Order: sequence, then C-alpha cells, then structure tokens
Amino acid sequence: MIFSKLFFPAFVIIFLFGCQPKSGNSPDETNTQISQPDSLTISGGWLRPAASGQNSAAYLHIFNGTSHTDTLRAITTDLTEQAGIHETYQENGMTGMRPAALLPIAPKSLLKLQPGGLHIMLMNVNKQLAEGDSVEIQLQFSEAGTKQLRLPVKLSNPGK
Amino acid sequence: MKNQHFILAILIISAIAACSSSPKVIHDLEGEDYILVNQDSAVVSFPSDFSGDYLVVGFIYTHCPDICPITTANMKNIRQQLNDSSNVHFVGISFDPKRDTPSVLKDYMKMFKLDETKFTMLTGGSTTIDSVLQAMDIDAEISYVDTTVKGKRSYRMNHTDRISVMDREGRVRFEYPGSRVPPKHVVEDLTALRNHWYDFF
Repeated sequence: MIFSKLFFPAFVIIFLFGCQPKSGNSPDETNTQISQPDSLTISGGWLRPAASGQNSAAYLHIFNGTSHTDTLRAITTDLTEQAGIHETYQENGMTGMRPAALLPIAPKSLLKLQPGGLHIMLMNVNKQLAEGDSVEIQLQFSEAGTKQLRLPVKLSNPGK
Repeated sequence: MKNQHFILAILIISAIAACSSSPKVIHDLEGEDYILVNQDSAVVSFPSDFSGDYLVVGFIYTHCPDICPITTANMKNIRQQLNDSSNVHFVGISFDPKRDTPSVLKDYMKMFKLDETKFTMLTGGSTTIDSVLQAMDIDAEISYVDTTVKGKRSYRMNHTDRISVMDREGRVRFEYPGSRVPPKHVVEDLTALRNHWYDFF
C-alpha cells in the first residue's frame, strides 16, 4: 500500500524524465542553440562569377546581436579598388542599380544583402572569378571593427 | 434525346475552347531579319534563322552584376526543367552592344556555363539592336556614369526586366519579368504552346 502511494508516482516521474533525449533537445538546450550570439556575425556569403574587367556582386547576411546600432561603413578587397553597397530598384517599369547610403544595423536585427536588392557591388574586378574560386573581402563596421571573410564564387543563389 | 447529346457536346467544346484560347500575339516579328552577330562573331538573322524553334529570349548586359545574372540563371533553370528541349532554343540579346562584343559574350557564356548548343548570345550595331528592342518593347538607357580610380568611365543601365517566349514563326506569345518569374511558369506555357493545345481551338 505504501509502495503504491509513494513509490509508484516516483517511478512514473523517474521513468518519464529518463526517457528524455540525452542531449540537444531539452527546452533549455534548444533555446541555447537557437539563440543569437551577442556579437555581430556574418553568414551565407557568396559572390557571382565575372570576367576580368567586369562587375561582380557579393551577397551575405549580417546579424547584429549586440545592444547598440552598428554601421557597415566600407568594403575593401584586393579584387577591386571600387567596392560599395548598391541597391537594385524597380521604377517606371524599369530595373536599375544605384549606390546605397551607409547601412545602419539596429540591435538584434538582421540585414540581408541578397539578389535583386541590396548587394555589395565589386566594379571592374582585376581577375576572372569562376565558380569554385573564393575571394577575401573586408567589411568595416563602426563598432565591430573590421571583419575579414572568404566568399565562394557561385553560379546562382545557394540559399534557394 | 439526340438533341440533348448534341447540345451537351456543344457546351463542353465551347467551355474547353474558352479555357484554351490561343495566347494572343504580343509582338509579331514573323519574317523580320534583324542582322546581328553571335558570341562567335557569326552573322545571325534574328529571328528568322531560328524559324522552326520555340525561343526563350532574355535581355541582358554583361556589366550588370545583379539582375541580369538572375535572368540568365532563370533561363538555365527553364532549360533544366524542360523534360524535352528539342525545338527550343535560348537567346540572350544584349542591349549594351558598345561593350558587349562577341568575345565579351563568349566569356559571359563560359562564366555562366551556358551550353552553346542550346544558348546563343546576340549583339550587333546600335541601330539594329535598338530596332530589335523596339520591336519587342524593351527599354534600356544609361542611368549612372562614374569614373574608376584609374580614370576610366563606366556606366550602368536602367532596363526592362524581361524574358519572352516566341513561337516557331517568330511571334512573341508570352512575356515575364525575367529575374522574378518562377521557371515552372515558363515551362508550363512553353509546354502548352509546343503541344499545340491551342491549335485545336
């Protein structure tokens, strides 16, 4: 009788907890895994192929996990002396490109540089960029300083 | 009873015909001979040299790093999604003939791995290119000029974002926003056109 009143519920509780996966899926651990870092992080970068002397475009995602606004101020690369943020726009039935203003990134927000929108314009590149190549590029932020990346050349958006 | 069957048959045929009406001719280039050159500097008479093929035509310039490569990738995807691409050819027409010489177009094709048996890039004299663009309702203009660090002038262009489908007689039957249309939409229209579904009505 004592067994059934005390030990049986305890057994059930132990049994249920014992059946939880060993790692990775407890609520706390899951939250830890999907929570964003407290720093500025860059992901998903790639750029388009181009013949020497042509223009290329680079795309990436910037997540500002800090508690203050940061700004992408400049882009440098050995590939060209002219790199900057441009945007593609639609106007009067036509599509075009123009330089974009400096890009402030609010705290805890994601900035997407992606095909058909904001992108990094690499003008008059000094060598051929073929699929499989990769290129070093530096992004200068007001707060986070300089971030150095190596981006692969892809024929089309690898995220689609 | 026979009258009822007859009326029912007429109604069904009418309904099918209404749903399958032939796509109208948007631009008629049948019999036109615009003298252009391809990526190998060979003379091409557009569209008459492609007579007998259905054409998927995209409009690009190679100094465009964002939208035009998307249009080019879309054309490749349309090609890949066609179960049977016989009698279908893909044509890219440059609206920047000053910079897009045949050799530049050749390099562009290599960069984007375009199969030369299925893709042709065309350029030509400015006047002829302008005539083709006008005939196919494509606008293109210089929008922005800047000077490189080494003093070289460079420009970018505003342009219509377009992929067109032409029938075997050189008539434009479908038009899409080239960088944004899902390839499967073009494949569906092209398949219907090729299967002559429209021709029965």
